Amino acid sequence: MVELEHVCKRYSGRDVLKDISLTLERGEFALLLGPSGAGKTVLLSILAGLASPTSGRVRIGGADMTRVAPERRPVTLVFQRHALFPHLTVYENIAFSMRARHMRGDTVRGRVGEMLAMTGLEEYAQAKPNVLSGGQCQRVAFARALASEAEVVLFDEPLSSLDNGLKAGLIADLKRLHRVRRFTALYVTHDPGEAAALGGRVFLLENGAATCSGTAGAATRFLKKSFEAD
Amino acid sequence: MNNGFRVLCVAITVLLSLFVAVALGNVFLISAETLRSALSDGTVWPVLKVSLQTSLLAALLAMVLGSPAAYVLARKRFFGKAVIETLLDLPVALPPMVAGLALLLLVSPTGPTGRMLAGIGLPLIFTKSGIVLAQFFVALPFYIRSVRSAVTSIPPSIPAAAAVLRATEAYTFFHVILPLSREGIISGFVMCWTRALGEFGATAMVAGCIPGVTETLPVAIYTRATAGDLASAGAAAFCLALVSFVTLVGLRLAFKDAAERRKA
Repeated sequence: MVELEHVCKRYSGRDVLKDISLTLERGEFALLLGPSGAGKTVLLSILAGLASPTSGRVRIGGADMTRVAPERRPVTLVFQRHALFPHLTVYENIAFSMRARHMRGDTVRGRVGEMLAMTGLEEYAQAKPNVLSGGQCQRVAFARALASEAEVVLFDEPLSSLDNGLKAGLIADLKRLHRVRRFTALYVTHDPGEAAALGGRVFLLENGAATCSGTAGAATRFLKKSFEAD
Repeated sequence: MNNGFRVLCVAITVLLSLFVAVALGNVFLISAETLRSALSDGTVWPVLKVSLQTSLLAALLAMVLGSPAAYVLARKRFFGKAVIETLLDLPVALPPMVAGLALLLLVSPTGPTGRMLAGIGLPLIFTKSGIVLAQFFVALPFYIRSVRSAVTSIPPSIPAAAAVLRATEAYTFFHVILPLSREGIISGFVMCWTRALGEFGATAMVAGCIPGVTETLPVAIYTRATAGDLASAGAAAFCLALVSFVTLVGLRLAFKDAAERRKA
């Protein structure tokens, strides 16, 4: 279970996150929807340990992780622009977290092989990221995150730079991976259509505050009303 | 108007290149006979050996100690950072004789540091170790600047990705930061080495000019030229200029592919 308790974040006198509390159940695939500048990436950074909240608590599996370094949290993050290591091959990117934890060679080989097969990337194992397409890079990023065996996987608008045709395929891949691996996920997007395609419980973030939670449909209607009111 | 400006820029570039070429030509156009004679009398090779040994050691020391310093300066924010940055950059702006005097006062056997070093069998005045110290002091900023620039150019999402993939900061430094800073490290090492090789003022102050022991190429050029032995001074200058030329050309060729990939 992932819990944010009254999390606030203040940057240079501005409240970026205001009293955010939310809970994710184990194995749940939830969405965080909101316009650009709402504070979604900041919230993910706090969950991942890349930033500290000004106040409030982060609990994962019941343990207080508020001041725990990112490499010691059971959390990983798929970045908006995949952030693949350009000097490593696809194989080495996926193996990175295992090698960082000094895991045995045969274990690494087995798990990387499994990830390559799951994401359809076997023939690109020895390729470097600079020869891959955007969609392929994002699939490597998914595989790399899942290979880390983190309990919680955060997604920071991973499909925002891809065209709609590619998105549909990757969304299907992601749903399939979640069905198989059952990780707890929080997926950030500003696209209501993407949220609807992924399904799951939706949290809405506007101007640093959580304004509602529910289904993707309810969130979309709420967002539309907010735009009309503006 | 545009053509006139373009012609002016090209003319200035050519003139500057000619200025450098003519000045260095006197070193490179030393006659083969003069060079052979100076090299065969056995006085230049020991000097070349001392210079190469000490400058490479100074550059290696700069690489080992300068890499973590460059990383901290590139990536971390802390109280007093501006002061540390200025201190580490200061040797570039400091006149070499001032640097030499400062080091001399630091490691003089009459001072506490010099006495301690002598006590543990590491005297520095008039020794090769003293040359390494002087060269390291003046050349270190060149390495740090180059590597710091390379580390700064790595997008923050890359080390962040390593952290969320359970890599410790040390693992990320050795397996991500250093490999991605490769060009900066190599060019920093080369600039640092060539600066160390050409160092005169600080080296002469700390280590003097003991033939075969602490006589480096720049010191030999000065002492032989002022003694009237222009052939020997010219041979030493030729060796120094040749090493610098070959290293710079090698560096340009080594990074030519990377530069073309960046343009593409």
